[in-house]
Amino acid sequence: MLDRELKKGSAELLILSLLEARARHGYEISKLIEARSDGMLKFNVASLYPLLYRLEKRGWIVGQWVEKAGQKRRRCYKLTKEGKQVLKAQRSIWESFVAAINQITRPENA
Amino acid sequence: MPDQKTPEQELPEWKPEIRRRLARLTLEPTRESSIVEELAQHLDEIYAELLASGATPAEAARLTRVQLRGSATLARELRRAARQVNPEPIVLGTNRRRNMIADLWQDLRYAARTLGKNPGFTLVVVVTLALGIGLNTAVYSVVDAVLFRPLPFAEPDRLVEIQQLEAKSGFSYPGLRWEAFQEWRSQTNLFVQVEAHEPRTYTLTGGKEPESVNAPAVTSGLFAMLGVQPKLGRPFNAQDAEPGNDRVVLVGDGFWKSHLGGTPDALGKTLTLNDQRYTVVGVMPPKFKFPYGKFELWVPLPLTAADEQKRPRRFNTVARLRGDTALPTVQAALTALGTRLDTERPDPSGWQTRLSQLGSIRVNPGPRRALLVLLGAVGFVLLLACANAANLLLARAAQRQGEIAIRLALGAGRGRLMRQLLTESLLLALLAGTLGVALARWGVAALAKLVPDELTFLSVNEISLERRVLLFTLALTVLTGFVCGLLPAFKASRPDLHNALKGVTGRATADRAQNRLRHALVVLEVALSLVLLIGAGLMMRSFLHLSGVPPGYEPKNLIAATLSVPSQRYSTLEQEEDFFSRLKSNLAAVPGVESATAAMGVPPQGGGISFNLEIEIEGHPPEPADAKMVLPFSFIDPAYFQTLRIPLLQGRAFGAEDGVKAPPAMIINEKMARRYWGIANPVGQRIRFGKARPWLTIVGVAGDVNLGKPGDGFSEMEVYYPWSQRTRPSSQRTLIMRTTTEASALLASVKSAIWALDKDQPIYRLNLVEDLVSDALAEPRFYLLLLGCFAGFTLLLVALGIYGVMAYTVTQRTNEIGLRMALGASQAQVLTLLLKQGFRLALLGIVIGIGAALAMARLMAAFLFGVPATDPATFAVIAVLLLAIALLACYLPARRAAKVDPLIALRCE
Repeated sequence: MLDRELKKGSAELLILSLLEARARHGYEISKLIEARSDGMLKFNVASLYPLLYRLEKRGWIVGQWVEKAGQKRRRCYKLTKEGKQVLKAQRSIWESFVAAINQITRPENA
Repeated sequence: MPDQKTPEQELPEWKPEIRRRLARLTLEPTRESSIVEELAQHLDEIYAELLASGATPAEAARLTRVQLRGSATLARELRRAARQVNPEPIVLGTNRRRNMIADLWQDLRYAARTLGKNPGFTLVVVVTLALGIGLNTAVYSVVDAVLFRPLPFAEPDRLVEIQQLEAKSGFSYPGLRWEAFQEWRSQTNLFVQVEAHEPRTYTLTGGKEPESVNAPAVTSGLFAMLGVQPKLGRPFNAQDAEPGNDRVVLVGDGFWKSHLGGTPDALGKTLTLNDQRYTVVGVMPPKFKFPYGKFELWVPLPLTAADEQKRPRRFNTVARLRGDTALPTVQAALTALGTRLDTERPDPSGWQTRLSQLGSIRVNPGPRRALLVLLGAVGFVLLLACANAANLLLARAAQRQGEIAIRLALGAGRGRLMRQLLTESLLLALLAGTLGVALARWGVAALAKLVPDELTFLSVNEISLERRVLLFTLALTVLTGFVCGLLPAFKASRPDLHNALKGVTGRATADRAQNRLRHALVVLEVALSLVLLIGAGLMMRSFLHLSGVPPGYEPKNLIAATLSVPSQRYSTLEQEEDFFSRLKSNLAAVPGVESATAAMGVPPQGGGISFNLEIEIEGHPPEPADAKMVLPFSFIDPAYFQTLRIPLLQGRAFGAEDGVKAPPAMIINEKMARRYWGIANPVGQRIRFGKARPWLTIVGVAGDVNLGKPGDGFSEMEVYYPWSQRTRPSSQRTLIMRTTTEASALLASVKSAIWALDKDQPIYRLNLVEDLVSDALAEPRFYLLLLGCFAGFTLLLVALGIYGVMAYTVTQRTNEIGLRMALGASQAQVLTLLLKQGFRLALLGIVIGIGAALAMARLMAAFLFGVPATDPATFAVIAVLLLAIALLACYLPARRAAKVDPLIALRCE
């Protein structure tokens, strides 16, 4: 398992990233995280929803009940304008951070 | 993602279960049902997926329910999410359980590591705060001992003093008449106990030298009422107060060690007091003081009606209130009782009874106010130290922007980050507090030596670093940690992510808001230090004025010996006169003594003070101001003016013609002569102090001498009476000798001359008058010394503060400076640019500081002598001094910046 700190920091970034392309509901978000991380990362209900509501409270995402013909209504989340800016900043920091870590942890040439 | 289509009947009903599990979720109902619906759908999806993967319905339901484990945490998290605007992220795949202690421990370890990596920074902040905390602790230990700390007796809040008040003048007398005392003793519904003590002075003989000792006489139940037992032997009992059995004495711990060898066999030994042998029956515990001061002996106080008939007295009365009786209730009962007593046995002066908490009058109002002002001043010093530390923390936070941004990226919430930064400042404060206590330990020892007797002689508490003071320090330390850490932590936890990100690999860019905050802190520091410096400056000028007041006599080469003669041996006026007359001859005959005289006291200890005198001048219409005069006076003998070298301006000194049968004579000082007679000669004119008093004829006018202390607020008029016309023995006189050689060399000869006349005559006080003049200024000198210390420290702090900010600003502007110089700016122009910035900050601080100092002028006025609290010269000098120091603090980093090579500066980017 990845280190707790790393996972902790990445949670917001993961959700914001997944909502960048299109609006998604909670279950879909959790499944995507699990699938794309090859099972390394998992969200359970107790973690996912409070985080979604917080992101919503901050104004980075917005949730809406969406009804489609012949289906149950679902609460879907999409990025706000501010959320997009935050995602940009966080992604940039994350990339710099990962690059810096790679620089340091790469084996030195003899 | 395709929807899992599951037949309705196969789906368990999740909502009731979710509602039950989230029963503690107290949100707005619509929002709550929305959450429940959303979670239920999520569980539906999981259930359907499990069925599709081959699980039985029961197994799928069980595995789905696992998702709801930790629902208490879920409810809490949902509530927090609904409430918080900036909550912390959640760790993926876990139910976060908060562990405050573990978090705190982690924060502390991280803070310790971080501070350890910056020893220079840590040292500067810790030392700055430690000085502030140490100073506060030391000053508070004095203030606490003198003003706040409960008396070291059992249930001190239930102990009261009963006094009598002269209704006409408001003058309170610390004692009760015999009848009143007996009356209060019978009030068992109000008091558990009523006890008395009276001041007494004895001559202790049998040692190396005769000594004058204060030995209050106390009723047998007094110490038991205070809840204090002797550490050796026994307290007084009822038999000790019976006539014939009262030759017993209790001794203090200090006396026991200094006079009785400090061994248990001291019990049963005898002490000779006023030629009577007293048996030591007990030794009181260390640090026990009662009624105040350094009393080391106590004798029994017999209370019999017969004794009272012989010698009417007033008793200092202390009582313990009954369990639940409130002070006002007792006061009302006492007033009613007092009125009844006054009606039955009217007292001509119309006394009223007044009750006060024991020890509530621990210090006179002047020193009390001064102590509180000092505490305020030292609080300013700490505030300044905090501002400095905050500035250093801000500067460091700016350098750590990159690190902080990474931690944010790693998921540290802002609240969590603030807590971490606050932990750092608290750790710094705790280190400073520890060092501060060590400094205070030394400071308290120094203060205990320096503190003038005027401040502490009424206090029964030791000045020490005891538990209350340490608790104060702990509270102060924590507060300091918050005060200096809160703003920097708040600012640091909100970095500009883009810039901070750049800063990960490069230098942090200027943060305008942080700069504004740093500048505001410097302005605050300048303003605070200006107020303190002005206070110290005013005290300095006031002190110089006090020292510069011409004494009106020549204190150099003067010796003063104060003697109390025992009334048993010199009970009549003639015996007393004879003794002092022979003593003066003996002293005058000592080689090196030019002349000797006797007076009530010696300046600046003065003589007596008459209150509420009505001055009536023969042939002058009465003036309203003369209705209630406070007038210093002294009884003197003919050689007084000559010995002290006080000029006699008109008339004559007292002489043989001023006998008991001659018309009462007086000599007045020049100020009094000018006030009532202008340039006319007052010699031969008559004055009386009240209709019932005799007329006094002025026989001379002497130069002005301050019989009290300079600036003590008494009338500047003084009067002298001749000893030869005194009708009652006074028992205490001060002999003053003028020497032709160094006075200190003659002190031993003076003692020998006194003991040659009476080997058992103690010398109450023996001083060089020059020392007394210096002692009279002890209190203002003490305040000046402390304020001077504070001011020096604040000056250093403010200089460091400005230097730090300017150095940081210069670092930030290196590229800009390089660019300016590359474009042709001269070194002088760069220097001016930077100096201007510092000058503006200092000037703004000075303006604010002057406003604050003016607002506090009234507070200072009470402590000043001969200088107004808004003295423009002091304000101007301090403002210029501070400005100069501020400019110097700016100049050093500015000069460095002006010398920078433009190419290097530009390359910095």
